[in-house]
Amino acid sequence: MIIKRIKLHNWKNFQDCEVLLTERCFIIGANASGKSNFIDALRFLRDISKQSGGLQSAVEERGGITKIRCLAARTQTNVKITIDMGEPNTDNFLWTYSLDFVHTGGGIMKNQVKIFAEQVFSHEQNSYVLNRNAKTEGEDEETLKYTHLEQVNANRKFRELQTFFQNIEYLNVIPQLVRESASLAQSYTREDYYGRNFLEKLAKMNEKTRNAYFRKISQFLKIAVPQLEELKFMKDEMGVPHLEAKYVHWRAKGSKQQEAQFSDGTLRLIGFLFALIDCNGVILLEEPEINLHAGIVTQLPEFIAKIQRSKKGARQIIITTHSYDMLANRGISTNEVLLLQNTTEGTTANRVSDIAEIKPIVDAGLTIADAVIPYTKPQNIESMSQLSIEF
Amino acid sequence: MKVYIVGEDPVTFSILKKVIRYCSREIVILSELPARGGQIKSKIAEFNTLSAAYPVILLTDLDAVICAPELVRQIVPFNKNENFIFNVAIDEAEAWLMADIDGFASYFAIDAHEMPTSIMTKQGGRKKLPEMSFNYKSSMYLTHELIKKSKKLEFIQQFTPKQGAAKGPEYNSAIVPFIENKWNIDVARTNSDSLNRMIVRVNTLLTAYKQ
Repeated sequence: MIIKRIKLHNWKNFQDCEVLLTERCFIIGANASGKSNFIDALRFLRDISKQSGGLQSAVEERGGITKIRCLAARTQTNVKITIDMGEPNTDNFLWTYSLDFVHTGGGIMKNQVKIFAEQVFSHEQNSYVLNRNAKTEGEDEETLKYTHLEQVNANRKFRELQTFFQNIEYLNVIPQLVRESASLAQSYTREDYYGRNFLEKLAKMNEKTRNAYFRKISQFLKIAVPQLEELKFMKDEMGVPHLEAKYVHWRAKGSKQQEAQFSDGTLRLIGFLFALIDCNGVILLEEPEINLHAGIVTQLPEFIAKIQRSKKGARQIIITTHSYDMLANRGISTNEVLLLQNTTEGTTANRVSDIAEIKPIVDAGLTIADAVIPYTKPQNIESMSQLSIEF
Repeated sequence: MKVYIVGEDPVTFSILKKVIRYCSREIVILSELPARGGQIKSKIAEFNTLSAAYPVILLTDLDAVICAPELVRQIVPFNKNENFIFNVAIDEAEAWLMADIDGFASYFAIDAHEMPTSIMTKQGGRKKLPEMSFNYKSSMYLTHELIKKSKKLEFIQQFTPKQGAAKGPEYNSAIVPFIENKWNIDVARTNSDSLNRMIVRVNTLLTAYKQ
């Protein structure tokens, strides 16, 4: 199952946005156009569904509803997320989940959020499996602070959705954090978005699976970083997990190196490869091109397509990117690229295939990169280097 | 009228935008499609196809080719769509800028008598028409000779290439403000027929669109 459509209302910089998604999705836009906010809507659902998660903590982690609600929101102050799910390559949806919530409390009361409506629609049964709001029998101010999505007793009929959202992976490996073992201790309680617990996560895996993954990753790594050989996982005398590889260059037999000595690009590549193989649901990748050579970036779209074709690995991959090299791949369809653009009424998200001025450029035979990168560029960017820097 | 523009670098894009604005304020630029050095030839068929959707206005340099019609014959070997406006700057976009002789001289603090002038030359046709005259490539002349005569050290530093570089380290950001704010197209077109012809082509396109 994949996410086939997202509707956002008052979510961060999206006042009203509705867009179709595909198995492989590239989200592009200028800096601060809301690429991360867009995928944060999916992380939000995951945060609600995960163990020890829930609506209140997901909102709190984001700094409260005032940090979530769209600044363009005026008369309507509710925040609503609607997700349609279904099998790839079909036109029908299987499920629609929708969550609509508003602010409650304030003054001497704790600032929290309250559910305005929560709905689960089963397209197979053609009926609502869940349809609750303030008027529903048995609901009160307290029950409306919790989604049924986060409660195993309440979500029996749509447990599938809870699992689906729980399995959404977000990945933005920050090499500095993988290396810095001191930061490990602080991160146990928080989700591992930035690779802090990457090594710890590896340590907890079944050894056989881990070895199998490492064999695969080594094969790719050998091509991308030829001087790095025999990548493996090990623990030092103190039990601290490490990545280790043989660096063959200037020594006859090569020398062993650990993650602290790996390059930024190598660490990011290992992180991405690992996540792509390990995840079996939706994966959100934040600008995978960072630290990577253009030659490797060029290969990513096809590599991702390959992963999706295989039995194991991520089923839906949503990527934010600024990379010309990535988008220059001829295999990327105009349906797979979402362009975010800021307008006076919040940000819009559109598939390139639906944008009248861009579609003809791709239809004429130019690459998606040629067609869309000019649109994501700030209008007067040239004037940046004309600014005076005299003080 | 909505158009796409195709250029090779920030300078050509800036010129394209200024000339289009000079022709009419009604023209909306949909996108700036990049065709970096040498790519124009390989993407030309695509730009021609694209012009069926919205007009495409392209600007390229003549460089080493003998004359503009010859360059067009080389690059566009097929039937060019009417809405595909292919412009060749003789000999380079920089020559169009220097064609505003007094304006260029005063902006870059160069004595007017040091500036190159236009001469009457033949570009394929029978008639002799004005074009700026240089001993070698106009951009080279600008960065290696002319700018050294500027009274402002800042311009000399911005334009003069470091060893091994083709252009000065702040070439674009030094020249683009001139194009945007000071470049007088009324004067420049009298000294450069290739610029004049671009204006005529854009105006013809606009007239055809309005009908």
